[in-house]
Amino acid sequence: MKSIKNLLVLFAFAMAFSMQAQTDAVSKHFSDYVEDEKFTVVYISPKMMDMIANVDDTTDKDVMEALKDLSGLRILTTEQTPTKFYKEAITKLTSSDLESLMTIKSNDGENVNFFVRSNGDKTEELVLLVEGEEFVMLSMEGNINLKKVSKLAKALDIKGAEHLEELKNQ
Amino acid sequence: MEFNQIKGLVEKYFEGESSIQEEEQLRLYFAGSDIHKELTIYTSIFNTFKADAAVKLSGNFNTNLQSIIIDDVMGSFFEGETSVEDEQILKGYFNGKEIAEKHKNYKPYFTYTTQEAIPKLSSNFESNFQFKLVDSLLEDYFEGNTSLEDEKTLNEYFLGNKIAEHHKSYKSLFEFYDFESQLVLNSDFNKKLEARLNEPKVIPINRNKKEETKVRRMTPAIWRAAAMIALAIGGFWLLDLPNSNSVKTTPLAAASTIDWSKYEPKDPETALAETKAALALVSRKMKEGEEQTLKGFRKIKAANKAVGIN
Repeated sequence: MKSIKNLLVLFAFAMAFSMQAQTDAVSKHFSDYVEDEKFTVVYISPKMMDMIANVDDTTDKDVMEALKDLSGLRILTTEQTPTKFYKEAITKLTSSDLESLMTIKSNDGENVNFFVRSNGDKTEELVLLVEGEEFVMLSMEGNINLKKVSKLAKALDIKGAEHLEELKNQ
Repeated sequence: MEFNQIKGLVEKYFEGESSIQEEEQLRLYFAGSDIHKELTIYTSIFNTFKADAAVKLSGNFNTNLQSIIIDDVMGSFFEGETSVEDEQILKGYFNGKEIAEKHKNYKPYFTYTTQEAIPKLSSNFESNFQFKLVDSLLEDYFEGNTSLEDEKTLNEYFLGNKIAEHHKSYKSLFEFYDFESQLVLNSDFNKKLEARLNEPKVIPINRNKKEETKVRRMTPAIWRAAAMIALAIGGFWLLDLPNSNSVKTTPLAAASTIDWSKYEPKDPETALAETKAALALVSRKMKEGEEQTLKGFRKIKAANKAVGIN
């Protein structure tokens, strides 16, 4: 009787701590954006990520490698009042537990921000904010290797941009 | 005595110039029987004087004198300057029967002082004093500061019949204590106790709940079981067991109330495409940043070279 009780207690606590609330920045701070109809929202769950890994693809190894490390992906984008949302997002993220990684301000009026959430050496979350013709908020969760990610640029560049367009038109 | 002599004396008398001896002579003359015709009219005067003078001097004289003295003492009394003896005099006077008319109004003052005050002092005074004592004892009693003797005093007081109005509510209390203290164990108490102890145990039939309100004790076993159940329920309630994707409004997941499953692509191929796009964006932007940085460094390097710093 007692051992069952103990087991139950442990079980309960373990579950409680392992399956906590969504830890990503979007869920935490931008739930109202998600609900907002102005935004296009995309979500890739860990399950989906697993399934992707099994998809037969011609893209390079690096990409697939990078995908393996991801547990989740969330994208929010809108063409309406990008500046306003950008400013709000910046405020929220700078005051959150996320660290600012990089800020780029281009002369063509585009602003880009990178935020990370680290746990020791590991980067657990990467958040990208873009303000330009549209507002983009992107959150990647997993075991992220920033160097690897940046290297992907070449491989994905052209195709990636195209796909992003497709995304918006959906 | 001769007529002319007497006449002369009478005239003198009425002029107020007669001596006592002369007056005495006149009295004697008029007390006798041989009074001249012309002088008979004065007879009553000198006779009255003789008779009344003696009486007045012995009866009213004293009373009048007394009255004057009383006036004087009373004056002092109302000024608060009388000695005890003076007051005694006044008491004596007012308790007597020969009180002057003008003094009769004052009688109550002095009769009250003598008659009524003393009895009050003797009966009520003692009681009042007693009551005050009891008040003080009661106070101590309710604070738990009474000695056994004090309590005995209180008991006696309450068992008597001279209880003050404001103490009467406590009477039943002390009567109860008295009663209880008189309870004595029966002589065969020990026997009875033994017999009862040796009786076989009889378990009472479970009675109707309405008859008795029992206090149900929470045994440790019950506590353990309750805790278990509570934890189990709590755990399940607090968690989001089925799917981490479908985030419902659970307390632990309170931060996000987003149901992300809505936004998932239907198939892995789409998912892959989207992920690739995302990665592309991220990496491109990162690259841009790096390039700018590198540009900057190159410029600095060039500038340094130009200046001569290596």
